[in-house]
Parts: sequence; structure tokens; C-alpha cells
Amino acid sequence: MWGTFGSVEIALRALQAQRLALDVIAHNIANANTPGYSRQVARLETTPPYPWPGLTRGAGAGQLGTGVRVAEIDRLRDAFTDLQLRQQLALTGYHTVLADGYAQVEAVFNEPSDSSLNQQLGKFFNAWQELALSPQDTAIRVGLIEAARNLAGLFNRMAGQLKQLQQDLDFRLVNQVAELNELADRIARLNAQIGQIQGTGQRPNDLLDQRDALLEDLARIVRAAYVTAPDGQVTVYIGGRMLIHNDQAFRLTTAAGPGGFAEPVWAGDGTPVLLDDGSGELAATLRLRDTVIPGKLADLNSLAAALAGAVNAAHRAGYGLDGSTGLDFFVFTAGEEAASLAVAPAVSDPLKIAAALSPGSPGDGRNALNISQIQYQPQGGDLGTATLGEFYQLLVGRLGLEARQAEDQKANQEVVKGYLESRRDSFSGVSLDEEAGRLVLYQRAFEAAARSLSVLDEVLDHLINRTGLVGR
Amino acid sequence: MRITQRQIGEQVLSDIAAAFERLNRYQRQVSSGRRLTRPADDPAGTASTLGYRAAILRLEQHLTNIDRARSWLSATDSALSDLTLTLQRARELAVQGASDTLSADDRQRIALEVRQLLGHTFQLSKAMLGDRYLFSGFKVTTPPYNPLPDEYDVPTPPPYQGDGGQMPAEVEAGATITLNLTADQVFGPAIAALIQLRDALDSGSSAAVEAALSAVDQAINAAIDGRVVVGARLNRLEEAENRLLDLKLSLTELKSKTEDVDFAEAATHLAMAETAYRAALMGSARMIQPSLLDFLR
Repeated sequence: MWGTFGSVEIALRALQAQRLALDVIAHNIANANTPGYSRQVARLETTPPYPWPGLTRGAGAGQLGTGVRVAEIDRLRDAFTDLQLRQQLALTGYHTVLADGYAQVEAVFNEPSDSSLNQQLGKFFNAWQELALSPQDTAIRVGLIEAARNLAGLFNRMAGQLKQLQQDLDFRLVNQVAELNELADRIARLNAQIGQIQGTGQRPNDLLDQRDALLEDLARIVRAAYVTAPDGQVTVYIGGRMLIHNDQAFRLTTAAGPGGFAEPVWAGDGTPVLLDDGSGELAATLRLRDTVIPGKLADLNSLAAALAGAVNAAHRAGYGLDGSTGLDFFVFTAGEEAASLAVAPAVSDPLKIAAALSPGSPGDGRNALNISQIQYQPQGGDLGTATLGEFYQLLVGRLGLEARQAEDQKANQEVVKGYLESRRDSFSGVSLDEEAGRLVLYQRAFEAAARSLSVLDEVLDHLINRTGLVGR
Repeated sequence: MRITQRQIGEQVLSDIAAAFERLNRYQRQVSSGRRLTRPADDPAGTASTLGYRAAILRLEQHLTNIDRARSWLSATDSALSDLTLTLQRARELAVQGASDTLSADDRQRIALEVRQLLGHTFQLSKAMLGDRYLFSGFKVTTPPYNPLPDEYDVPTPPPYQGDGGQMPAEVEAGATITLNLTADQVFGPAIAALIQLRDALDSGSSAAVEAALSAVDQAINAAIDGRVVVGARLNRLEEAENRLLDLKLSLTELKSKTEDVDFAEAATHLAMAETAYRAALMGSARMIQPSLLDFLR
């Protein structure tokens, strides 16, 4: 069976194998900068040897080699690093969104600056001190109303901006869920293709790369668990439930939650999605929307309520220039103190500001002085032993601390992520030096195989055209 | 470790970006002069600096209060000083009028001048700062006295129309001084004494004039007492002001230390960041260049 032309077949196989290896290298070089690409290697192996009958042994002198073939085109990828990287990407996504959110909350507070709440609060109490010294002066009364309106307006604006931030985050959450669905669909489609190709015994290397890239995008949004089946299809779990299984994507959707905000739920049965707090952009968005911002709003409300309560109580005890008494200075809606704080309509008449402790005393500024003393007094209640100013200062300090922690975590996470990406690149990335070296190697082998073919050609030429011509 | 070109490329890019970010941060510090741009830059520092800012704001109000109080007390003092001079002239007239050698006509002439002094005293009691009567207590829009039928011939001391209101002025956190004196304290005795003197002179009795003289003396003492009180208050203002100015200086310094850039330090950081950035650029230019491809024929 292995006759005269066997060597031609060996040389041919060599040419084919080396050329295929060169193709793989060309593919690697072409994709040296493709994100998510894993280098591929043509794994060569000898073809099954052929028993060659020998003179002394019936079975043969030994087995004769029959050449080379490309057994497989391997994709060099470390599944463990991929898993680690996905977990870290989820953490990075979480802390990045959180740090950005905190930066926006900080912008609402706008500290330290000359137009912040800290300053307006001080100016408000200074206006009362002014009034205490010139209680009969209408211009100063008007100035006080102006200072009070500025302060209340700032409370309103800050609460409004925080609520707007919440709305923006809510909108972002809906987008993130849509993005997640889109990714799940694409991964499921790739799963199907990969399954089919694996079934034919081939390696869908480039499709695997594409899917891994999509899985990383997914990992940023949500922390998930990944199980890869022997047929190459990946199953993705969120909170213990399958998001993707084979060619199926179980989509998420959003439903109106208790606060009127969107909550991520499973589209199939509407049950809430169990998210891992502390990991994934989705969880960070929820944390900002449902914990961080409501916390700051509650603090602002406590401050506004304490301010309005204390000023009102003192104001009711005093008398206006027109003898009016028992009036509140501020009005507000309970539960929405910061958003609704306003100077009481009755008091917008400057004569009704109760600067005096006794009626009919235009020069009596004692009540105005009493009201200005509120700034020195511990307020109790939500504020504990803090004065209004101290409570606000602590609030901003705490916000700064939280924002700083988020920034630090984000920076740390970037380092870990960078390290893992580098490790993945180290294993899977294309080294041009390496490819160039191999290129030469396979080129030489190809040349040598071609040479051996031409040697065979000459040998056969000799045999066919010049043998048996004796005596001609 | 196996290193690939892409790895180096990414690393170099991220190193350059990090160096540039540092450079940018110090650049911004130097150009804005501010170290603290958001609470996260220094959470503890932010909380303290907000405290400093609030304290400075309060303190500036106290300095304003002190100015207001000072003008009130100065106006009070000048009215009292004028009152003292008036009463001293009345005393001279009383001594003159007590002499037995004077005729009834002479006493009438002296009484005429006493009437002038009485009128002047009523005018002084109506001293105002802006649109406020100084000596009417809280009833700053009401003159302290309304002499009838006129300021010269009012038969008995007219009733004080103000009240006993003591106006507080906060000059330091939680510490107040009283601004005003009421007319019944300082002008009451003077008016009564002058009316008594006028009537004594009119009556021509030197014994009555003697009695009026001692009333004038008491009124002078009341006026001087008033001036002493006002002087003590002005001193307290002065002391409080000095303390506040010192405090303001140190608070402003603390605030600046927390919020503002130390320029020498920032400039050094900037220079270092710039050097690091240049080095990163230069190093990357060298590292990316060579490859096996350059040497293969």
C-alpha cells in the first residue's frame, strides 16, 4: 500500500501543515491588537505510522512515519484567570459607579464654597442679630426675609437636585437592565453556535473570544456565576437563577417598586432579582438610589425640621411691630422638610416678624436675639447634642469620607483589575516577537518540504524517464 | 512572565495617563490656589473648615454688632456730656441765685436762663440715633417726655413716656451688653431739679434756691453715673473687639491652611509630577520601538 509515491504524500502533508501553521500565525498577528483576542497555536502531530515489512521480520523493520498533520488549533486561554477577572470587573463596576455617584452628591452640597448651606445658615442667623439691634428698621426686616428665603431656597434646591439624581439613577437602572438583556441574548446566540461547532469536533476559537468579551461586559453590570458545559456552552446564574442557559436567555425587566422606582425583576415570573450588594454596576446604582441619596435627603430633612421647629417655637413667643404674635416663621410639609421649607406667607409682611418679647415695643429686639441664639444650642432629636451648624458640618464631613472611601476602593479595584488583565494578556496575548520567530520556523520547514518534493521529483524522473533504456 | 507587545502598550498608556493625571492635579492646585475642592479631598479638613467658616461669619456679625453698639453708646455719651455741662451751668446759676444780695428782678433774669437750660435738657432727652430715640427704652419711636404747655413753663416734671426696656446687644457668642439708658434714670432728676430751681428763683426764696441747689447736685451725680456706665460699656466693646480681631486672624489662618494650597509645596509637587510625566513619555518611546521583526532579513 505504501508504495513509490508515499514520500510525495509525506511532503505534501508537510506543506499543508506548515502552511496552516503559517495561517494561524498570520491570524495571530492580524489580531495582535484585537480586544479580547486569545492567541492560537496550530498543534502539529505525526500521522499514524505504517508498518513496513522487513527482510528478517515478518512484521516489518519498524513503523514508517507517514508525515504530519495539524491535530488542532488551540486557543490559549486560562479559564481561572477569566473567572477571577469577571469577579473583579463586577467589583470595579460597582465602585466606579459608586464613586461617580458620590462625586455628584458632593456637587449638590457644593462645599466648601461661599454660596453653600453652611454660609446661608450663618447669614440667616446673622440677619436675626442685625434685627436684634435695629428691630424698628423695616429695611433690616426685609433683609432678614431675604436671607431666610435664600436659606429655604437652598434647602429646596439641594433636595430637588438629590431627587433629580435619584431619577437619573432610576433611568440608568432601566438602561442597565436593557443592556443586560441585550448581552444575554447575544451570549445565548453565541452559545448555540459554539455548541454546534464543538459538536462537529472543531474549535470555535474566535466565537469563544467574542463570547468571553461579552461575558466581561456582563460581569461589569452584575455579579454572576458561570458554569461551562463540556460542549462549550456557558450557563450564567444571577442570584442563583439562570440568566443564560445554552441558547436561551431568561430576560430581566423592571417593575415599579415601593418608592415608585424601577426594581429589576425576572421577566418570566416577575420575582425580584437577588443582587449581590457590593458588586456590579446594577447593585451600585441601586445602592446610590435607595440608600446613599435617601440618607442624605433624610439628613437634610432632619436639619430643615430642626431649624424650622426651633425658629418657629421662638418666633411664636414674640411680637411683631403690628402687635401680631403666635405666628410661625417657616412653613414646611412633614416628611419633605428640606424640599418644602419656605418663609410663612404671613411673615412675608415685614411688620409681622416677631423681634420683640413685649407688644408695642418697636425697640425691643430681644426675641430676635433669642432666635439668633438657636445657632448655639444643641437641638436634640435627630441632631442629638449637635447644633444646626455642627450637624451640617458633620454631615458634609461624613459625605466626604464616604466619597473618599469609594474613590479609594475604585482606585484599588483598578489596580487589581489591571493586574488580572495583564496576567490574562501575558497568557493569551499575542507576542509579535514570538510570532515572528515561529513564522521563520514554519517558513523554513515549508521550504524544506518543498525541497524534498523536488528531490522526489528528480528521483522519479530518473526512474521513469531514464531507467530501462540500456542499449538504446 | 511572558510579556506581549499589547501588554507593554497598555501598561505604558496607563502609566502615562496616571502621570498626566497627577500633573494635572498639581497644575490645578497651583492655578486655583485651592487644596480643597470637594469634601472627598480631605473629609476631616472639610468638616473643620466649615466650622471655621461658620465661626468667621458669626464673628464678622459680632464685629458689626460692636460697631452698631459703639455708635449708640457714643451718641448716648455725647448727650450725657451735654447734660452734665447744662446742669453745671444750672449749678452756677443756683449758687448765684442763692445769694441774699440779689433783687427779685435779678432772680427773675436768672430764672429766665434756667428756663433755657430746662428747654435744652428736654431737647437732649430727645436725642436720636437714626430714627430712634435713645432714651425711651423699647419705645424708640416715642419721645421720652412731652412737656406741657411748653418746655420752659411745664409746671411739674412730665411723666416718662418710654419704658424700662433694656436693649441687649450680642458682642461675643452668647455674651451681651445692655445698650441703652432710660430717660427716667438720667433726665428725670435733671428735669425735676431744673423745675424746682426755676420755681425757687421765681418765688424769690433763697432757702428754696438752696434746696434746689442740692437737687441739681444730685442730678449732676446721676448724669455722671450714666456716663461712667456708658464708658464701662464702651471699654467692654473695645476689649471684645480686640479679642474678636485676634480670633478672626487665627481662624482665617486655620481656614487658609485647610483650604488653600501651600504654594512652595504645590510647586515642588508640580515640578516632580512634570519630571515623572516626561520620564514616562521618554521611557515609552524607547520601549515600544525594537522587535524581532527589525532584525529578521
